[in-house]
Amino acid sequence: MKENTPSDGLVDMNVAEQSFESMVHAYSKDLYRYGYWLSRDKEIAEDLVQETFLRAWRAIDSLNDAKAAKSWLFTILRRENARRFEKKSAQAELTTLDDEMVEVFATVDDDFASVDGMAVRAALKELPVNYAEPLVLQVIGGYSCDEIAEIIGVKPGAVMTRVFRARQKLRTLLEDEGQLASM
Amino acid sequence: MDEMNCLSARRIISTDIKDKSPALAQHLIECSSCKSFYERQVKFNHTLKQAMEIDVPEGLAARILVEQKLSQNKSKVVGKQRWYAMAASIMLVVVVAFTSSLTPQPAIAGAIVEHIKDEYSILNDNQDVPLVELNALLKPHGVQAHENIGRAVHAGNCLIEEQLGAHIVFEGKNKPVTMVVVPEKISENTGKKIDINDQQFEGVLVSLQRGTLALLSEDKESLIEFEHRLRESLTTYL
Repeated sequence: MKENTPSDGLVDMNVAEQSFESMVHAYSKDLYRYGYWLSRDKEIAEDLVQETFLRAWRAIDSLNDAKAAKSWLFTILRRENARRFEKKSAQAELTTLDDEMVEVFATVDDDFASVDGMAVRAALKELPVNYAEPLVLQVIGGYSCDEIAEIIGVKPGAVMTRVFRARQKLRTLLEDEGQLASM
Repeated sequence: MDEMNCLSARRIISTDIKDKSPALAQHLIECSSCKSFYERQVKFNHTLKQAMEIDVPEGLAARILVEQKLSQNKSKVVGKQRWYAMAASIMLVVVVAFTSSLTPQPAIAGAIVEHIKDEYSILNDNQDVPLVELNALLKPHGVQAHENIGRAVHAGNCLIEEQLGAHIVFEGKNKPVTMVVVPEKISENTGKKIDINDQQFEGVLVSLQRGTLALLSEDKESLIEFEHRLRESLTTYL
């Protein structure tokens, strides 16, 4: 049996393909879910993931650190989602958390054990995207506020405020639906 | 270590519950009220995670990989053109010794047969799959096809036991011949052949350098004729 030794270019391509395939299997689910909570649409979410991985493949040589792959992909998807909108409206950013709000939030004794999952999803859909996004990155992506700040391009303080407001708003929505029984 | 007060602790718990700072950990030991708040937020986080983890469409990863391979096919890369210049010496891998083996049938054989039965309708496909598309499917598995392999009437990716493989149907002498290539290797000995035992299909598994190739047909004559067609090609692979 005659063997051809692969040229260097083909070997590199094979390594790149294997890395890419590993990334797809490792991150496609979380990316889809991130895309869904950004767009609130399953078809758009799948399109976003497809486009993200295509862009990632084209730029795979630029990824020097495999550990950074997940954040890299989340950032690409975020930009892909942003391309869907013609204008980006600047929003006034509250960068500090109000102490009183934190105290009030912390002292209410909620019972989360009985909350219905569908009700939580409905409430998540009602959150403004700029509140939902950092919360999704925190809960599904497992990122810290500093890491989220890097991905979405705001200050860490702004991320903390948005996450807090997201949780606060969710609690209000669930209370209004009778889902939260304060003990 | 600086002590943390309740306000600082609650601010962190409200915004970054996975914070692992020693100061927060110590405060939660000392303050039952903040600890209770922390535990409630952990429960809420768990509920949130479950709600956010919506079902992912079936086959998403496979579709992403197919799109990536098709996009590779479309790009005009100098390296690829140079590779095609070598096409005269690059042929589909062929088993050297087509002798039956007494090795027990590996589990992947059963999985491939079941997959073909599940997808039985594609045996009736009548496309004319271009060679370049065939090779795009085969390339990740380290094999490439030459023109004399014959007419492919169906070609696509498939998932078998969570492995992404290539599934190609060729026009056979009497009945179609199916070729499936998967990453799992049945043997470290490249070229080792194992017969597939099934009441409906005649078949053979061949170990490749980067996986396994299966050939199956409902007609033994068609299978043998196709194997001869492959054997007459050069035995070079990537």
